Amino acid sequence: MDESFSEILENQLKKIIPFSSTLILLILVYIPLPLPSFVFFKPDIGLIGVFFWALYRQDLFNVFSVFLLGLVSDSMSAVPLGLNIFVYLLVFVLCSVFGRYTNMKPFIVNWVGFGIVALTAVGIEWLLMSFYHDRLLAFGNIFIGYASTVLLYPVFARLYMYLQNRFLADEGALYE
Amino acid sequence: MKRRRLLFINIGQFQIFVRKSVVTALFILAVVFLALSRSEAPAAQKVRDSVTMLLTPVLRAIEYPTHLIYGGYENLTDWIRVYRQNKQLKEEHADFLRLKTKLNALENENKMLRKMLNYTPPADAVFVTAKIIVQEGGGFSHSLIVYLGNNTNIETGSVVLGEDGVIGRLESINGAYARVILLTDINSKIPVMTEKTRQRGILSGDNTEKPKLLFTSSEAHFETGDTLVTSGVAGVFPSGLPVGRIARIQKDLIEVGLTGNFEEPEYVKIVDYGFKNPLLIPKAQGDD
Repeated sequence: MDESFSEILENQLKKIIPFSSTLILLILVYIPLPLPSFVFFKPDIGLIGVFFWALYRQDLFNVFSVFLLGLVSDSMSAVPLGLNIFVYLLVFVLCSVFGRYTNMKPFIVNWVGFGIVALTAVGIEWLLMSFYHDRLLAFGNIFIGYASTVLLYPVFARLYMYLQNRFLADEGALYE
Repeated sequence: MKRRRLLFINIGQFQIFVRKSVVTALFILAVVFLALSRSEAPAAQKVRDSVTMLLTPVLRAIEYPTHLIYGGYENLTDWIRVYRQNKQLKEEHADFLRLKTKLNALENENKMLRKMLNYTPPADAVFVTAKIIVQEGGGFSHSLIVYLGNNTNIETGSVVLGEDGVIGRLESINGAYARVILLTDINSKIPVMTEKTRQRGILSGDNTEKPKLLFTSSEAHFETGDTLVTSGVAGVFPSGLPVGRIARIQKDLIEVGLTGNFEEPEYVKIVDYGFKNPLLIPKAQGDD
């Protein structure tokens, strides 16, 4: 049976949920809030989104989505252009290669997996930035950012799981 | 199961090859971007500006309701604060009136002395109040994106002031938006001096809350609590703008606590003093 226009549109919109949800959250985190020291605790939403969707829905979240998210993240901040693109692509590749070790395992395994991948990503980011500026960067705030990203992972993962289970669950729900 | 083939090519393997090639190409593109940024090529800035220009209107639309919610809470706390401050202000007002008389006398004396010295004052400064629409920080960079509107009088390199002092400089202007590099950012380096003893140094950001004071004279003597102001050297910032206080001295390491509030501002003041950094002005043809 032929699909109606609204059905086609609905299906197409569903397909961009992984990319659009990460993009919206990524933009939201840059809104200035009147909270002291909030800037130092901002989690890396892009990293969470790339890890989650690359792990579970690579069919809807391809490498171009990762590139675009990195580009947005680089443009909104003052880091050298290409830094977040490189790091997000690296996370995408790591998820493609090692994803099977955390995929469909208890959530805690997934969380620990994220912790390891995020640590690798932050380490690479730190190295690249240190090369870029010809000096070793202070690790204090970088660690705070890493810790807040890992600690807040379950919150954002829960949101993405809801989106996955509500709109994209054609092959069974995640963690239910 | 039979493998699908097109002529002599296995389609499955070909798809994997294409996928790997695309990922590799995008990695290379990321490295090219990094190299362009490192060499400060205009192309990198152009890409960044284009993406920012596309996204900032969206951000402006989103941040409005967010601030409405926070605004309600702030109004309530403001009422209580205003009552307390009013009492304090009445006492301070009496002191200011006494000071004002003294200042008028000093101003007149200053005018007279300038006349005697044939002093030429700098051009009038241009002030713009700009709303912050993007605030980012952390371990890798510290910057703001502000909305300038139709103010075209402001130029790159202008001073950005918070409530109590300098918070950064205008790095780039892109239509109605501008990027501000905060004093805490690793790329920020401004010449400063101690207010009382006029000892100079360079305030260098390192992505922490407390930038470091570098390139100080070996004979210079600093103390915790010394107030730092801009020195005016290099001709970008005028001298005398409050920057911060020395927070900690540890061997050769001098940490500075900034006075300008950059953690929870909503608006910043951008001031173009009309100073031109000779290093930033492009050479005219035939200058060599």
